[in-house]
Amino acid sequence: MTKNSSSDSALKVGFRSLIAVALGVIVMLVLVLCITKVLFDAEKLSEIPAPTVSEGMRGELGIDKNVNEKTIDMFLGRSDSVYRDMRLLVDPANYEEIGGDKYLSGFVDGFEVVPLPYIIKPEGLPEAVGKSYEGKALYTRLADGTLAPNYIESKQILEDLFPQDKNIFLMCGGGGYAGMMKSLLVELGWDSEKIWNVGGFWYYEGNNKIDIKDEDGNYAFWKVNYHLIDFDNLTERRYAED
Amino acid sequence: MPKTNSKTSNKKLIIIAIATLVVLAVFGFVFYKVLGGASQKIEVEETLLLDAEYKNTDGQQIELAEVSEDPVATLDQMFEDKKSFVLYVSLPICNGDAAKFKQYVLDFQHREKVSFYYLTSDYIKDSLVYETVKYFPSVIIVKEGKIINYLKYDSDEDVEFYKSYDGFSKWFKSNVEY
Repeated sequence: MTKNSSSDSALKVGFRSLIAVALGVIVMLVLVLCITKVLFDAEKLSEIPAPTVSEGMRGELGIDKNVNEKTIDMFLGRSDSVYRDMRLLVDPANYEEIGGDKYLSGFVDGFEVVPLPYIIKPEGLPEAVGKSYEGKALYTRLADGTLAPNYIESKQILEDLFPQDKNIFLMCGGGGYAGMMKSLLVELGWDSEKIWNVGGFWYYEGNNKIDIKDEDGNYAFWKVNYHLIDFDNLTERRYAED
Repeated sequence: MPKTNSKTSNKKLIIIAIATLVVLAVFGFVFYKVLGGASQKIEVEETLLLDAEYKNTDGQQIELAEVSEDPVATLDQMFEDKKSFVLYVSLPICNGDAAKFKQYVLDFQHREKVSFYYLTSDYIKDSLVYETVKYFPSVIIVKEGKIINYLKYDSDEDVEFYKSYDGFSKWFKSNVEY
């Protein structure tokens, strides 16, 4: 009896150990699976078609043939990308004159507003709309065509807003400001293969539209993720001393 | 001797005549290319004969939003009534040649004393036009309620028609008689 009971208890201990080991293995397996899934999901980001300019006048502005207003929804929300809308909230230019809206009336969810005129003065605006914002900007195009940073921090601000290790998707109202921004970044050394001119908000018909203008004609600018460039806190460059 | 002389002078005359003809042919070809090329028409499948009400006007465009409280309904009704007309739809473009396109269209109407209907892009997505034309600005030619041609903003072939007054004029005159 004693022999039997001692072998029973040994069996019980062995069985418990077995269960403990099995549970340990299961927990380990679950952990490995979770970690693999997280890693796998991170790598699952789809490939983005290489920047290719559209045909026609859209191509003249540099709007992309594959990643544009019709397809951008497929590329939203990526951890490896930043999304920038280059319009002003309120443009001093009279865009009503050419059938437009001087107010930013809406945007695509995920896009953050960094107005191009705060980076550099836009060129080639139609005469009919008059002048856009002409205040301080990070860069100036000199008479000889070269780019001059107006502040010590100019390049760093661009590096922060348009990180070079990310894909950069640019948008505006019709594709013009986005095209100018891409050209500027490329001129400053950014990789053109990582920047897409998505085109104009007007053409967007996807599922991520956020309206700023309501039915009564009021504008809800608080919905916009807006990057303020506080020029008063920047250090102006003095070229004579350089 | 006099016979030989006359033969020689005949030969000279023939050579001069041939040389003159060759020079004239070359000049003619060059003139045809330079002058004729400018007025050369683009081949189109169908043209529109502009209705009298849109010819010999003051050259002002007819703003649908001003003549109608519901410009989209008015435009769609014009299609249903099988009317023939020209429609210009603008889209604000902030730079480049497309930004100047509106001025070419306005100047053309003024100089040629013709009138187009005009609508801004705000309305167009709700209209029948948007089923066919997706990119703007564009000029759309409607014959008996059917779009027979329009400027394609997303086509390489139409780029030259957007980029200058002459380019637009050439395209329009190839599509519309007035």
